[in-house]
Amino acid sequence: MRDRLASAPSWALFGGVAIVLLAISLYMRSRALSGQLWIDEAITTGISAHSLSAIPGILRHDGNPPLYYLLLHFWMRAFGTSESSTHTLSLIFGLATIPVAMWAGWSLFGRRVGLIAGVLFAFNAWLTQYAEETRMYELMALLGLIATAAFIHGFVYRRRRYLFVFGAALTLMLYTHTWGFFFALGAVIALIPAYLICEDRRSFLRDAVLTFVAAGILYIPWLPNLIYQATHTGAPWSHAPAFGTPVLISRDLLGGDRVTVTLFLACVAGLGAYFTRRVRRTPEAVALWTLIALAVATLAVAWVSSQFTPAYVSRYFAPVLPAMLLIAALGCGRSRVLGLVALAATVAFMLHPGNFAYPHKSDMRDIAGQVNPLLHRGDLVVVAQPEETTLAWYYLPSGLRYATTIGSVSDPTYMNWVDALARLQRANPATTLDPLVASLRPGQQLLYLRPLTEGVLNWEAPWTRLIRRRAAEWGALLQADVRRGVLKQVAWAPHDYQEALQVPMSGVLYKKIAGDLH
Amino acid sequence: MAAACAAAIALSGCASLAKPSRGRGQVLDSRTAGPDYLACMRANHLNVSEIGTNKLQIGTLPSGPTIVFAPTADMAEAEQIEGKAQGAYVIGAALVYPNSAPGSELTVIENCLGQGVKEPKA
Repeated sequence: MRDRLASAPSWALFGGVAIVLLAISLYMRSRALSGQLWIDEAITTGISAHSLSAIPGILRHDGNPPLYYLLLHFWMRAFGTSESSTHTLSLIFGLATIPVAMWAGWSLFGRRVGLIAGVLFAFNAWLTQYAEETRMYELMALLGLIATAAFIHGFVYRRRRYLFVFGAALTLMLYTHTWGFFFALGAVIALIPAYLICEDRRSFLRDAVLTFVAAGILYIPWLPNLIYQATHTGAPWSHAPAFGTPVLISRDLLGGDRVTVTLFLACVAGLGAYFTRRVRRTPEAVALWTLIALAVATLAVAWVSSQFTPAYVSRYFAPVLPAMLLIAALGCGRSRVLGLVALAATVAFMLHPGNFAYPHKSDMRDIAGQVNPLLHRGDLVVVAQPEETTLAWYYLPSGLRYATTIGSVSDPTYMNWVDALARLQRANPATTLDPLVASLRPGQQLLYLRPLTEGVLNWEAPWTRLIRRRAAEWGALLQADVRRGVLKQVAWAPHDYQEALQVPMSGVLYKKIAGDLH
Repeated sequence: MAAACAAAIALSGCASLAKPSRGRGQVLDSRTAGPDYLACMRANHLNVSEIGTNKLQIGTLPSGPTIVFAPTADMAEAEQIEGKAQGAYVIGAALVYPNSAPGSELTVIENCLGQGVKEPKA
């Protein structure tokens, strides 16, 4: 049996294993395909629904580059805007990482590592979670994998044709997510191990400069938007990271401490030899150092940057995931039986997709299911957490008007993050709400949506702290209108609240029963 | 359906109302029994008064914040969902009515009430 496997043509073995892994992964990564969207997904869908020419301009208010939004635009035109449809695009990118990982492991470190890499990418918890999310993270992981493999081929093994692949993948990463910028800086630092063993350093430096400068030149058209976003948008809901990166990697990227410990032991057993003087300057050892440097340097650059402009959450870690899984594949591949045992254990730990795929990322679909029959054209929706407006727009019926605690919203299909915190601070609750209530005719309704704020972690950033307080202040004003006989509470939702992974909401529907008594 | 769910929420809360007694029939005070919120606020120089069995008043009304402790976090959340505590926000089992308190005062209150709060899970 073993001889048969060993003598099997590479294409047959590669293709057979890839098909099996793709089938298993497809099953695992489609369990929550029709799950509810949450804030970021709804905003992504809303922006992508605009015309191609409008998308880059809208993204100036959001904070992301345009590539994924443009792809999703075409995808939605072909397949619609439902949760299942938009999640499927991410699923395809996630599945595509499996054969690409097999190629990467195989071409860099041999057949065994290639097969193991395929298994690790097929079962990885992070990829399973974001394969069912309408965001750019799976695309970023796929591009990161291509860029990582091409980087090793091009700069460590000096297969120069891969430099074009690396340059193209890096450029696409820069156009996909802001962390592409951190990856680019991490890659510059990760050149050091290859440079130290390189025989022709002049040629190496020339290749490096040309590749990175070419990617930089191709990125220039988006640079003004990046500068504008960096100075005006940011992520006011986030806060500067401390020293929890290992926990984030273990829990969110690898799938939990059991998986991390298992893979770590395999790596210790399999990669220990690379630390010996005899081996540490071989191309394979340098490839390992480069992978480590790529992951560590990218995270370090992002961490330092996030001390000034916070953008450090595990869903952004896509660019470093490929390097980590390739290191783990190499560790398992070189630790022989122990590696296979570790691989089997890892698969067993990650077999239950329900641990990593969440159908209840929000509860807005539940709220909409209960209030939609009561809403009429011209009714007003007031959202106490401004970035939830697009989620409400996605699930509520058309013909409604929208406002937030910042003020009226002319286009609810995206969140205007430009100086959002300052605008929220300036918006006086009474003077903002009164004209909105005054705009309602008797009989028209106001749906007040506000976040459920039971926990602590989500509410520590300046933005979220203020949202929580404003939600109560607006609630108090609405209650005052009820006491004065201007409004009457007619419904509330959700009646069957199930805790949601991201910020859940509740809604109270008021009907205007009298003219203003101000 | 709605009534059944509301009843279920209320009943689940009622079950938690009967808190286990400490010693000889002593009833736990939410304000001090777990993390001592009262001591925390006083240690941060807030002028806090205890009102009734489940309220704290910081400063004086109408501007000073009021904190009402529900028997459980789920009950506090249910109050919010049903629109019965629109002027408040929830931290754990506490309903915080900010009234017109300054942000710095609310930050102290939020930090104190955040002690020991379990994060909701999906």
